[in-house]
Amino acid sequence: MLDVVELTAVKPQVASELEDFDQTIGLYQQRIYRLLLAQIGEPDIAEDLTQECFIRAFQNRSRFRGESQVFTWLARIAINLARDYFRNRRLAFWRRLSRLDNSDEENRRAMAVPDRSVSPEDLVIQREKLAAVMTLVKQLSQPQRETLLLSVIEEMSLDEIAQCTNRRIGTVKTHLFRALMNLRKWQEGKHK
Amino acid sequence: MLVHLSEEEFASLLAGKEDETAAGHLAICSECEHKLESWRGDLRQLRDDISFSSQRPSEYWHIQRNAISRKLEGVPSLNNFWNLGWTLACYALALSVLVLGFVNFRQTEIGIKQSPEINDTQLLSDLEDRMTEDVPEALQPASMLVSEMSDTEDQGTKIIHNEALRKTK
Repeated sequence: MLDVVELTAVKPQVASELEDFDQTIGLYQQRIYRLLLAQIGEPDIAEDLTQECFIRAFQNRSRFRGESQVFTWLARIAINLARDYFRNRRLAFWRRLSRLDNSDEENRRAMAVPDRSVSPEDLVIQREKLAAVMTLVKQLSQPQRETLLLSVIEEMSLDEIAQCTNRRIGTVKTHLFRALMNLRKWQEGKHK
Repeated sequence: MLVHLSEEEFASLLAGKEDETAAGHLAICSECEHKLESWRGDLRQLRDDISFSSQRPSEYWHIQRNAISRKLEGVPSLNNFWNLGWTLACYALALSVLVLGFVNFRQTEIGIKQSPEINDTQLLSDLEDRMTEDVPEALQPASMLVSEMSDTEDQGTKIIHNEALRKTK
């Protein structure tokens, strides 16, 4: 009898948590997607990682103590996911190289379904812009990239960036300035 | 001589941190001001490009939101995993305590069985044997050594005696 009472008490709680979390998804999914897209540069992967970010956030919701803003917490998860992605991609590259096959990549390309919700012209312009951004961003190291994107795109303060990236404020400042210097040097070199 | 803004000060300003000293310097130094404005322009361009390339129609976000919600309904909470983990750990602990207790009980039981009861008559006979012994138990190895040495001495004297007899013959 007690079990039945407990179950009926727990189920609505989870359901209400899901409802609340659905609102959180609605509020932040675009920003998280933008952050991941700017880091990774591949829309499909950014989409998958955005979903994964919210799933992880929901699973770990009990650990969120409200000390930081919700977006800072979500961005931290997204940053970690991007780091994992780059690490795994490097491993996958060596694995593929050792096996001398690229069937995985080919399968992924074959499975990719074109997005019909955006006009072809817009899609082309978007791709060009993204390619330009990625060319710029690829000039930076991982920490510099993370710091710059959080500062520029999300307009986060140095404290928030430090929380997101798990680094000290002084280190964040240094990474930010070096990122700016590298971008400036690269752009000057391009114009010459 | 006018000291220009440092790297850190530029980084702070670009990250939106207000600094009175830096602001005062920018008011009088056109070089730093120009540098800062130029950087801000580049970053604005970068932000606009990223925002543009991440734009999707509202249906896209709706579909993605639903996809996440659907996945979440099927995903058990990590709290449940933790609870399950703790329950399993408690069960394992209780089981190990029971097993250890059982093993310990068996060992003491065997130990008790292995030590046979010694009755009074046996004890008495052992005591009598000890009393009749010439040498105490602790000195027995020494007495054996002494007896061996005396045997070899006897044999040696016998050999010498026999040789002397042969010579006289």
